[in-house]
Amino acid sequence: MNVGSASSANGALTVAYFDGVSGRPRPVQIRVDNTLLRIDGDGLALRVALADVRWPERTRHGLRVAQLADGGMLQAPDALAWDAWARGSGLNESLVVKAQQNWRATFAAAAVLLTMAAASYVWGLPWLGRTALAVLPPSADRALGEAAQRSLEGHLLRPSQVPAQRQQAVRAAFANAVDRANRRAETPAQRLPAFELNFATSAPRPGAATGTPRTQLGANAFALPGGIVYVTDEMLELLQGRDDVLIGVLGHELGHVQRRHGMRLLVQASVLGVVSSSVWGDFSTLLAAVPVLLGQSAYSREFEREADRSAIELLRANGLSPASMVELFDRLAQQRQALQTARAGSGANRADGFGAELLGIALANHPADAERIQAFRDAAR
Amino acid sequence: MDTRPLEPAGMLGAARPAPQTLPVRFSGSGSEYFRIWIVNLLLTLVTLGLYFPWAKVRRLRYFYGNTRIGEHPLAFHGSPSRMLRGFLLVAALLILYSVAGRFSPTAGAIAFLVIAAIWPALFRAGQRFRLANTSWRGLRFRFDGTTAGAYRAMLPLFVPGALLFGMFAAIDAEDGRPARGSEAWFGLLPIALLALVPLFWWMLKKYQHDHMALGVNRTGLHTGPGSFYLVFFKALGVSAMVGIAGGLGTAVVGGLGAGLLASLRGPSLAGGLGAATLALIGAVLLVYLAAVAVVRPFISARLQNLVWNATRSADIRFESVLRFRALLWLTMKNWLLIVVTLGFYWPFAAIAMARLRLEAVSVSSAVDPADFESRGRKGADDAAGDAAGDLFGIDIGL
Repeated sequence: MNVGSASSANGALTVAYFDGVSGRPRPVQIRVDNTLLRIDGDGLALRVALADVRWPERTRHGLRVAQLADGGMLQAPDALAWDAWARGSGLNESLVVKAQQNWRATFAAAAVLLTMAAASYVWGLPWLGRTALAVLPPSADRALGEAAQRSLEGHLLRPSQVPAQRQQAVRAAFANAVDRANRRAETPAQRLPAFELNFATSAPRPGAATGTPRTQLGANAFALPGGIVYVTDEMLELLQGRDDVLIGVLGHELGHVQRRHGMRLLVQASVLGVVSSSVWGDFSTLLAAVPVLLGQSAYSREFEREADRSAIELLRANGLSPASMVELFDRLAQQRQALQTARAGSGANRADGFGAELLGIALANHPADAERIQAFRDAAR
Repeated sequence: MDTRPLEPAGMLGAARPAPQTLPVRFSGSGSEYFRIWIVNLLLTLVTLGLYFPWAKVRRLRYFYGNTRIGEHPLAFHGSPSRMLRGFLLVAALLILYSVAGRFSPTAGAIAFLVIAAIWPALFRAGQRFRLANTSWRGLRFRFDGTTAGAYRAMLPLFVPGALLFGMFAAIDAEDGRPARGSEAWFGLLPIALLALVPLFWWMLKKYQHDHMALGVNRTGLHTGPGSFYLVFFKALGVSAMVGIAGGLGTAVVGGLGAGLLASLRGPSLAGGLGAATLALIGAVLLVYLAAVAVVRPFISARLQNLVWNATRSADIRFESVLRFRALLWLTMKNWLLIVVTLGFYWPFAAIAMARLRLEAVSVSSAVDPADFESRGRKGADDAAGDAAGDLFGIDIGL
């Protein structure tokens, strides 16, 4: 019972009443009587069920406005007097309101939030991705892959210059290797999926200076969801004479397809996007996009490791040493070195290759080469 | 109160007292909103988003309840359980839209058309819902724009988008090569689109501000598209100035930096140049960000003033004196602190932004607001608002 405020003596409080028709406030006395709210004033005697009132929530700032079901409202300019009256009248406030007004509860909520965010990032999101994969039919992967293929063929990729004979030989060798691995697979999950191997080169870099790659993708290989695998002419050139390494590279790409990484990334990015925009979206869409971008890179690192494992299995099943993959990293490093020397020699002032690499490190797109090389060496023992 | 002697003119004056100016004051607090935000965010995430409408109503009630026009606050009456339906509908639409395009251009085009076809109706329902559930002095606001009006105001927005979309679809069908003669279109269309933005923006604001009502007062937007074009042209000028200043600064700092680096690294000219190029890339990015960061507050400050100063009804006028420099400063500060605190400053930023923008506005009324009366019988307005408002309880902020 509040004794300090005269207005709340004998359980009554003076507030302003608006009837919902006129903008003129009328002073009334309100009082709680069992399950009824009694509103009495100049020529006014209203009885409203407590359940029909939308009560204001206690906050430190702002007035108190109670909304009545018939469109009328009560407005208390003195928020503290209202709170004292509400407490004295036995009106309960929700747990949420109590938590909102308590710093300890707020920090507890923040701690739970952060823990939840970390846990769902580490376990929840990948779990959601895998669960979504169980629900989404493989045809969804194919549709996604084909859509991506159409847009790539139109813009980034150019027809391969590699002779058809050589293409056929690589295709046959890889198909053979996959067959051999699949015959040894103990569970269906270990089987490598059907694939379609494509050869291409990428669009030239407009005005590429000495010391920078001539094409957009350079020596590269990638897989689209549903089993569409691409290898660039530059990659074939780089791995000349080492078809065993080429099998490993293609095995790595098929590993992405086998584990449906493309689809998982899509699902996870969408979920991250929704969560992040519901937290900060009101303020800025750009800000909401940052966690999505950063959040994805850690997952793609994990995906690279998984795909490396597929490459190792494939090489082993074919009696090849996983350590041969080290040759790929060596040759890539040599190529980079050669480009750098060329750049220094010509005094070229373009640093796009340099910049791109810096960005690659910043966003942690690939696990450090050293770590991957070590994994292949260990697998060879 | 009129103290002039009683004579015919004086009596007329008594019926029309001098206009009252009602300042808008915002009393929300960042730390309090932080607590509300955290607790409701937790509840929203724990319930996988289903609590969102309850959290939103709580947020709106906090912001409205702390916004005082004269001595009386605004109040929000929306019911969360009804808003849940609208929220789920809009969420489903957006998910459909974002997913469809990834699978096939056709699915994306269909989703785009579906959204374009119903978005104006949704927008109008949202406006009705929001205003019908907002009150001041116990009087509910209304939004009486028609659905046809919403389509007239918003569909032109979708026409260029649809054209662009159609063209991309055509390219996909033709082996990735643009049809002959369409290259020119590709260059022209974005420019044409950009040139039409102020017009579209004006149409949308006109639709919104022509149909807000309280009692017998219905507002109108008394300005043409020309004034919107002026704001956007000035914004272009501002961004050009930022670009030039940034470019000069970059040239000077970059040149000095490259020289310094080259001398530190010894005779390797290439090394110094490489570092300079990297610095240049960073600087260009920074200048671009700065231009965006400056232009956005410029446009939003100028448009807020323009729109509210031109909005009036028979008895009510608004005045908005939001200063660009103040908004720019606050935006920068908010951004910086949000980034530094990894997002936790967000509620403080939201409160500070609301305070700056709201307190720039004042309302003047030719009659005593106590004499405002809701049109017709008590409750008739909200019933109408409810019925249309709200099949779904859609509340789309824009």
